Amino acid sequence: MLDFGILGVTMRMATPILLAGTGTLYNDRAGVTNITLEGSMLLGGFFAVACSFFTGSWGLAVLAGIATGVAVSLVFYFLTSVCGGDELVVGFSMNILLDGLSIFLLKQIFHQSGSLVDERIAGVPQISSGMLGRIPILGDLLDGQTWIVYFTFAFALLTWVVLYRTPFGLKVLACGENPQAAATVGVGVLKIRFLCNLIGGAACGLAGVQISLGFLSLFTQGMTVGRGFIALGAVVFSKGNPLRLIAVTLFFGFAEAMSNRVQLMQLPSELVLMLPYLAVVILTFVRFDRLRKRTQKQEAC
Amino acid sequence: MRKTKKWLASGLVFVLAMALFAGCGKAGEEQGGRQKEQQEGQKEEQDAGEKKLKAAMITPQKLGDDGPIDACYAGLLAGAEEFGYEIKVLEPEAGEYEDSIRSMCDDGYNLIFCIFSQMQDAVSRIAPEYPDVMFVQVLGDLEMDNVKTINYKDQEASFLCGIAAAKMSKTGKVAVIAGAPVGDNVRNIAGFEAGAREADPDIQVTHLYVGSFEDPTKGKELANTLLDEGYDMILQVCASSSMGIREAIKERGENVCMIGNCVDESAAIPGQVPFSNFSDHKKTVYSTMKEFSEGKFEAGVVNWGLEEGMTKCIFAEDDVMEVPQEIKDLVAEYEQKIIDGTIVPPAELEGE
Repeated sequence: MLDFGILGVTMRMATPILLAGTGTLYNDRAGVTNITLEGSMLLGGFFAVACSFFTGSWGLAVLAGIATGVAVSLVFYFLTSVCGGDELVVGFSMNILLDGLSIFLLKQIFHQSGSLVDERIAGVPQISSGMLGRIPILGDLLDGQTWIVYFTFAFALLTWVVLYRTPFGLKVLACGENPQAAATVGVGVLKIRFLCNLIGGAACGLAGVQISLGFLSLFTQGMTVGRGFIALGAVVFSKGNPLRLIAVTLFFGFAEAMSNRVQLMQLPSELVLMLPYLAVVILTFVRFDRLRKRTQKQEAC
Repeated sequence: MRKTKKWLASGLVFVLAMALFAGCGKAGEEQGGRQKEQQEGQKEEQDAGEKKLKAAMITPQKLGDDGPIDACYAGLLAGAEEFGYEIKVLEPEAGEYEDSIRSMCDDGYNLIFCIFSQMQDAVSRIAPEYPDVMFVQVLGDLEMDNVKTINYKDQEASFLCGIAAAKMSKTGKVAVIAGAPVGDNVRNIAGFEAGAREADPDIQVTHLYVGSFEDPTKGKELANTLLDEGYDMILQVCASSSMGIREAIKERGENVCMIGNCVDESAAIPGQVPFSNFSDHKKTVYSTMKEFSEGKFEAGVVNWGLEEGMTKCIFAEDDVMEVPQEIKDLVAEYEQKIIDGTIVPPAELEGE
């Protein structure tokens, strides 16, 4: 069971969480509490499948998914920043609304209830080349994944660069940490937050596409099964650092991939199903900042 | 400022209204204060001697699973047409079960189907409050004066599936992917594993849990794990999560097969579903509606199996996928043995 195939599964499991998480990280750092990830992913996945069904093109489907995510974030922005609604209340009700909306549209457009499976739905192609597959470890990691997986990790790394090494990123951080001060020095706080909101929405939409068309090519109601909330948890837990976010989501993905394998060993199933979540609980005891202080102290000695 | 407030108010009202609309669009009946009024209305109606037939189906799992829920619904539709019921279907979320049952009772529905064991607690609390309403709990162990609890002896049909799977497997490895370790899933697993071992003592048989009935992603991931290990016959017992298993089986090609559950799934992946572990939810709902309309409804716990024809191992039509005649014969032989009582498939897993 200890082959490296598990690495590929880890990547796949981590991708939607990392992608939605990274998008939301912009919101988080800019001081916006946007919790509509789950609904955004679900509706993004739905419209991607719907678009793929009608056009047969996965490229358009991806665009539809992203556009849906952006639209959701615009509604959120309108209700919170323009109308002044409470972010948590709006976020919560939008999650419930979008879940219902996906089922409602499924019924109205396709006269299906619950799931949409059809030959016409084109999935996002999985990239596998003989060359890549033959490289040990790296091949297991990258072969047979969709480009969304590659993009996700590139995006997360890029986010680190953007946040800490570019003027835009520093403005984002300033908006989150001290909006008044940022406004005083001429940073357009609302504009920055608006942009962050859009980035977050687009990323969530794409994460939804990865779930519905990346690994599968179908839509079932509620198919995100809480991955949006896990992503939200990962963002909070990583304290808004993209590199930590990568680590956390990979860890969760690995635990989930492991739990699939470990079940084959006939261990008690309740315990195994708990593994990914247990892993996260244990991880919360690891305090990154303390770790660093400790190493600094050791260096000082 | 005032303008902002206005926007805020209208925006929030809109969102909340839509959320209500979407969340319980079907449940959207008022209750509470109107309860008494309606009960009185109901009494008057009954006094007048007009007993309307109204059947409601409350299901925590959504329609469109291409499985048991859709089968129940088909039964409900057939029953409504045949016996003139007024029908309604609710799909409440966890936590809304009691409210949805109560709203149906208050609305004058006198036969209420509660699908699957999740509903059991809610039914046990509400049934005593409405002695005139008859409840049908599909899967469970409730014993109450106005509740009919219907269970299937799933292990009997899955035992037969196990036998057929063991005979058809080329690699000698067969498996079950179940939703969660709950009653009917466990019965299916136990029966299947016992059946497979009965047919071939050397067979390697295992079972995995998805941990959710609505997670096709994980379903596919688990199916791939099994297929990579060389398992070539997989019984699915996991509702919507099985959509992922279907995809995995289809992608892997001809040499691997899925065994359907609850309904005849042979058309889902032509040529790769040789037989299905069938339980007749449609007939269950239909026949209960029939009993009720004829006034023969009886409360109590019933267990239906092969003998009643409520569960069976159903083979694909020959033009969809041909299954060797000797396997069909063997299954028929064992079916007779189970009905005669010479073989009793286990309903529980050892050691769990």
